[in-house]
Amino acid sequence: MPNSDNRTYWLDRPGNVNKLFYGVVALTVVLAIPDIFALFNIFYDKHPKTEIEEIPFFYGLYAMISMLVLLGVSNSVSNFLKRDEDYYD
Amino acid sequence: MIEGLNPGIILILGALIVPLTSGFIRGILLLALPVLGLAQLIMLGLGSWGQFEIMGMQLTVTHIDPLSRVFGLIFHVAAFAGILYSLHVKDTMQHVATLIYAGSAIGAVFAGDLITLFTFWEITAVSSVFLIWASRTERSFKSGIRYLIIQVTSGVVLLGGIALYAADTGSIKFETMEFGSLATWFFLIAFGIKAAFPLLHNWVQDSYPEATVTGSVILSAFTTKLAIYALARSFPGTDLLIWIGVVMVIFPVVHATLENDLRRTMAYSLNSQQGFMIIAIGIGGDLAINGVAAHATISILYTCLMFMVTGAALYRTGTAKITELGGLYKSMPVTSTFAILGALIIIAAPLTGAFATKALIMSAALDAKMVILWLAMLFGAVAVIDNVGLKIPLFGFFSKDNGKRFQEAPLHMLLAMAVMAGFGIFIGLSPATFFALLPTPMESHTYTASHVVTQLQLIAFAVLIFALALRTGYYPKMRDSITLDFDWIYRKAGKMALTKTSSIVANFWDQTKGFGLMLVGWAIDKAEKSHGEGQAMSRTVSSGYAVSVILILFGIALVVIYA
Amino acid sequence: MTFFMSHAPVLAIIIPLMGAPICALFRGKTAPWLFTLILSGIAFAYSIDLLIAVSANGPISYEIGGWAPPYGIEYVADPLSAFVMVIISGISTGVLLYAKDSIANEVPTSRLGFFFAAYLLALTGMMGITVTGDAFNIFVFLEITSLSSYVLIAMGARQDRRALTAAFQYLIIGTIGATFILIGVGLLYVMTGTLNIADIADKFDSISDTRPIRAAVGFLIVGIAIKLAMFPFHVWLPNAYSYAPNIVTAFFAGTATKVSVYLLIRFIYTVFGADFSFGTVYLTELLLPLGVIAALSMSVVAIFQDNLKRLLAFSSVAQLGYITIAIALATEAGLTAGILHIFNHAIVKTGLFLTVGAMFFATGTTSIKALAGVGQRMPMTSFGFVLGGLGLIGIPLTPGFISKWYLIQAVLERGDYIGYGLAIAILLSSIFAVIYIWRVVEILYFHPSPEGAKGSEAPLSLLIPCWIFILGSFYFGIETSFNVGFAEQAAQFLMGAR
Repeated sequence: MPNSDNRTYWLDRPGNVNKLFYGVVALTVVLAIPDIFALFNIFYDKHPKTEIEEIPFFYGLYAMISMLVLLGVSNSVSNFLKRDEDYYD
Repeated sequence: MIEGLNPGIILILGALIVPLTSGFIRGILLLALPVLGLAQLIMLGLGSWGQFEIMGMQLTVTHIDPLSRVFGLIFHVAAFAGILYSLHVKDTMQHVATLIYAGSAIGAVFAGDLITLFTFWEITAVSSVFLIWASRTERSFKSGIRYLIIQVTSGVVLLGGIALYAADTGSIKFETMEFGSLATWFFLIAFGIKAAFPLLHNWVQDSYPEATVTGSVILSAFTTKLAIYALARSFPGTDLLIWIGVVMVIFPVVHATLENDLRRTMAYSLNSQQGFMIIAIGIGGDLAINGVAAHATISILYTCLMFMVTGAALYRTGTAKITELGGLYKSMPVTSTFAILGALIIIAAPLTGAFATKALIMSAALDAKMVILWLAMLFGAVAVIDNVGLKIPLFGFFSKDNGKRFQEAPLHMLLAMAVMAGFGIFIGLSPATFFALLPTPMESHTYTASHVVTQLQLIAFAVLIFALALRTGYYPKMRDSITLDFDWIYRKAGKMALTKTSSIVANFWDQTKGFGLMLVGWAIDKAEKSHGEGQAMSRTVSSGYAVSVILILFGIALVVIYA
Repeated sequence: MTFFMSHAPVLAIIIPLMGAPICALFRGKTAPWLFTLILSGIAFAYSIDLLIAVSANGPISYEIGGWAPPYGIEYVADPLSAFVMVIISGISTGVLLYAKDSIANEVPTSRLGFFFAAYLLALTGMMGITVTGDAFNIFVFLEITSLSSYVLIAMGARQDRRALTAAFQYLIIGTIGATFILIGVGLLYVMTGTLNIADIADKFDSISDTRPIRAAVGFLIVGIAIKLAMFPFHVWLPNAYSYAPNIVTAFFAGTATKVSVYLLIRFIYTVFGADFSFGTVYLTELLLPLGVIAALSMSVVAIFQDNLKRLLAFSSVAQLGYITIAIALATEAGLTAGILHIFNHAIVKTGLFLTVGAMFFATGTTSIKALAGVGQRMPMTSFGFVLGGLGLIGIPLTPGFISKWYLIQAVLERGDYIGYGLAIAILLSSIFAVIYIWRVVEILYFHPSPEGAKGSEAPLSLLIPCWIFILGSFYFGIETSFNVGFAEQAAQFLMGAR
């Protein structure tokens, strides 16, 4: 099979990666809706075990903050920690 | 079968027959052994067998209780899948090492006393190193040596602990212990090395990526989880473990983010996941210990699966580096699908096993009112979404096409992946079936609306930030490089210090030896002169270096004796 | 057989002694060797009978020529001496099984008769030291052993001229040691008026406060320490072991220093008594530091050696450090561990030296660098070395593990920080052992053979005895009732004796 495959895949088409991205954005919006319901105590009950969970959109917010912290720290230590592949040899 | 034979011994003994077989027969034998072991385990049920006394100590070779049974079951599954995955390997050494290693890990889980535990503990160390050396490169050889030194040290420390413990308590039963005495510190360090505690962890990231394609699959399943079992057995509810676990969850994720090598990324992530289980052991209590057993099981399933997937990529393309891989989903669609499945399990998406098991640990933390701890674990859960859930499938398999095409992974590898993924998803679909095997019976409420929604929210928002970071170029660039870790201390700084000290010591001995030889030479010279031609017969035998030492020591001896 | 049995203590000595001059008359390769093997085998058989009899009925006393002690010379076989006799004659017989081809390769055929005569004398001397109940007789046998061993070591000169200097150095230092022992025995005689050990022991308490007695203790301890190669009196040992013919090294490694250990135990526990040795004079404080330094520093030295025999020799000094520690603990558990390690180290180290001898036989060298790749060329021999090395390190299922287990239990029994420190030192020394064994294994297996390297697998006549020792060591590491049982019995006897 090597190198004989000239099919165009869905991901290869221009614009499709963008579609994927907007799909993710839409998904986050949809998943935020239950928290809005919970604010008005309709349809959905959060069953919080701690007070912190009562913050609206807590899980989404916390995921975003965590990711930003992770990426921020990674970016800032990257240069300090990176070495050539044969550093130890 | 012999009554009460430890299932692990079946694998170990079977390994000895393997060199005598070849081809198809060998394949059948390899696959049959874990099945036989599993059958023995199921037939035995719960209880103790093989008790006898040696040197005044009561040994129990086989002891099966609900906790050890869970680990034993998953070890058998992992052994079977790992062997299936490695069927194409023609290297007898690897097959034998795999079976002995898996067998001794199983044997250790069912050890009823510390001596049996120690014996199997050391066999796992010695047998597993061959899976690293099997790469047969200079790099893997050196890495294997470092691995062996660390693993054997763990065994020696364990032995020290056993001796102290036996002296303290007069018992060598392997059971829950009160943490605090010197002996238990020895145990904690011995177990901690294998569990990859912070600062004791480097052997994982050092050696697993150097092992063969199949070797790292096998390695990832046993050693670290055996340590989890040992800790869960001996130190449940030890507060210290909570803090160790928190550091473990957080510490490796930055490295996992930066790492370019897929297998090394997995190794760091594995380390972070270990932290969850260590925390749960530290919390203690029925729910948390159930969580440990359950999450260890799932963790073995998805870690092995991800090592299988990345291993298949390495096997076909010859590299596991993100910078060198591209568009692999076009060549290896089935493997890529398994990569996505594995990713879904590891990020604890609903309908997968980890969704059910991680929740046990999280709610154990909340039940104990440890909110900070819970937040730390939640951070770890988000980090794994990035490190493994997104990075490995996207960067490894769905990255930009670089025009190279390869074959799909061989059928037996795909089957092995299917076994792991199948179990991982089955447990997610029907958690109650699996929870019935856990140490303490409990009600499970896995699929509540809030649990599903919050978990999906967590995943979706993490994905959103990941996508944004990629688009804006904020995501760290993958580079063909390594990331410094704590092992720098001993691989660079330590090496320099050691070279220096050893040259000083060698120099010192050379000097002393030179001095000694000089004196002896002088003594012999003198003797020759006094005995030689034309010389008078010697009056006294010439005193030499040795003799002066003797006299000095004699003087000291007299002082001591007269004192 | 009653005649032979009732004379067993003396026959085990007399037979090799009488055989020695006869052996010197034999010529050729086979005759002297076979003769020696048979005599050594007979001595071994008597020793085993003796051990069984002693174990069942208690100590056996034999009066030479019917003269009753304290006027005549008495031979006494008690649990300790019978056990040590079995070790000596057993090792000797095992080594002789191996000796034929090995020694023919290293010593000119014309001298083989003399060689084996000296071998028999050395055996006689060591057995004699162990069984005699007479202090002066000990000195006599000691000199028989020493003189014959100087000869045996010097026989290595055809392979390496340095054997001569090594033998000479051993002669000087060994003679000083023997002289010290003689002075010690002389002082004891002056003060007690008897040379019989049991008699001296009886009268000892009443005169133990006198200065001559304390001087005697000093002379005896230092004299024995020299013979035992206790650190720092070991300077003669590495050279002697390195340059002696291979079977001599293997024989002495298992026996010569062990006999001195026996003497140390005999004087400390039987003659002086534990109360005097450790209560009145402070032998623990004297011996313990020496043992610890030996176990640690000599292991480190072994790491840096280039010659395999020399490496094992330094390892022996380190292992003697363990035994010194065990004896200095002054407890029954410690004494058990010490006596046990005499046996366990003897079988392991002899096995190791025999595999090294096989490597020398095939390749003509014992330089570690020159042995690169031997793992492929001589798989059976090399694997034997690896297994023996595991025994030295103390991996479970080997006798080394059993000894260390008992030793660590014994030091922890102290319950103080010195005890913990000792346990750590012993573990540390085991780690050093891992390093020096590993260094060799790495070169044997993982370094490519040099171009045009000589040597294929050693002949079966060498391999089989090697493997008897290696497998035997595993046997005694798993089924421990023989070695542990007799060591415990001997320790109980010694501690209960006074």
